[in-house]
Amino acid sequence: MSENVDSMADFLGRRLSELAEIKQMHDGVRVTTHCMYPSNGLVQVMVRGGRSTIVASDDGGAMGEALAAGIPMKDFSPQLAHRVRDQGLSFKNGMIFTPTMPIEAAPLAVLLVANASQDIARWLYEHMKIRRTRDFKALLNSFLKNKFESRVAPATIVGHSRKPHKFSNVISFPSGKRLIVDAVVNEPSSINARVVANLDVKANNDPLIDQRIVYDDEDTWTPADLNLLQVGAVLVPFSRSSEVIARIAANAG
Amino acid sequence: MSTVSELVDAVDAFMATPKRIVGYDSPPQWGPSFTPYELETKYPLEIEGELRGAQLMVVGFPRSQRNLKFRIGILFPAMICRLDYTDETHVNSVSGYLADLVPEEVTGPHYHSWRVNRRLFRGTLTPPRLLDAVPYNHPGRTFDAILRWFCSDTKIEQPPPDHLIGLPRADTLPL
Repeated sequence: MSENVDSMADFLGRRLSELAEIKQMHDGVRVTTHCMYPSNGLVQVMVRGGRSTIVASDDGGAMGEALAAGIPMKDFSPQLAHRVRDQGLSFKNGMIFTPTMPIEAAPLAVLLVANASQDIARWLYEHMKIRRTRDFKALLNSFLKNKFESRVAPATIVGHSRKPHKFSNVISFPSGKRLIVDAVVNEPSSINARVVANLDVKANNDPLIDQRIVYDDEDTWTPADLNLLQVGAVLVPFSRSSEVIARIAANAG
Repeated sequence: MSTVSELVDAVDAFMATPKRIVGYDSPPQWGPSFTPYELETKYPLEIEGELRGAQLMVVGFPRSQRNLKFRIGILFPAMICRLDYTDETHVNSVSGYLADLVPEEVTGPHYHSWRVNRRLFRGTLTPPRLLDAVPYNHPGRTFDAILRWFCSDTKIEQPPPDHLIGLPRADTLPL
């Protein structure tokens, strides 16, 4: 029994030490600790210093954990700095670090930083919401189908460059006029693609085609992006699209 | 309000549907991260001809020049699976280990696949805890090879040979 316990103790000591690797890096010593981030990664602490003093830091590990989880970028310093202050630690540029400490206190520094880094990452996981992206294109499509039924359909329209452009929602009126209602989402590639497609079609100067780009005004858009979109076509916020499209439809006959 | 089971079904369906990276022919636009050590970029994922908000996220470590180091994952809208090509140590859940889904721990490159984490999923309004990971031990050891492996595993159409998705250089400045 005692032999078993001894061998178990040896085994645990060896395996736990193997997990908590201490590695010389080019600019300091990296300690892998037994503290765990919310996704079970082990917290690593960098210890840098000279002959008599050190500074320990998580090198942004807590915030890296948040980034890797998809938590949106913002400056969390106001919420986080005070959470590490009581332990005598600082939070700056996304990193937790100790003040300059005597080299004898390096183990303490490692433990304090590791636990603070774990706490910060847990706090972010528990308190940060990730905004659900609305299926905006589906919403617009559904709205148009309800309103215009079979008169709205996807269409390919050839632009001035002779390049064919696909549009998900083109409403056909009895007068022969058509209205392109083009949804754009808040992504650079979507913005660029919709501007180019609308600009190319607009260059045809076809009196039977009218164009609108609809954007999700519950999302946050930069003025520059909205300005760019207006180069392609008249812009309509989704919240106003019902009345605007109804008005255009009435005029189009 | 969707139930967790409906959300899991939605992610299952998303993962099973072929996807395409939009904008692979543009160099990454590296945005700032929480720390000076990391930069991140996101490419929209097209699914059934639509951009519904899902993204391929790449995290680069421009100061880590000595070793290849990055993360690739899918945001839907939170991270639902991620490959960490890092030298970190990751320990797995007891439930995952006892179910023989994952080893006790992984040191080095590892993959938090949807398959081994779906049972832990509780929704995407708060970050899913991707507790379990399997070692990445496939032969590809370049960014491109690993990106292609990840695309293949997650049903993302392979980008063409001349795609411009890559990692930040040491002198890359965030936008």
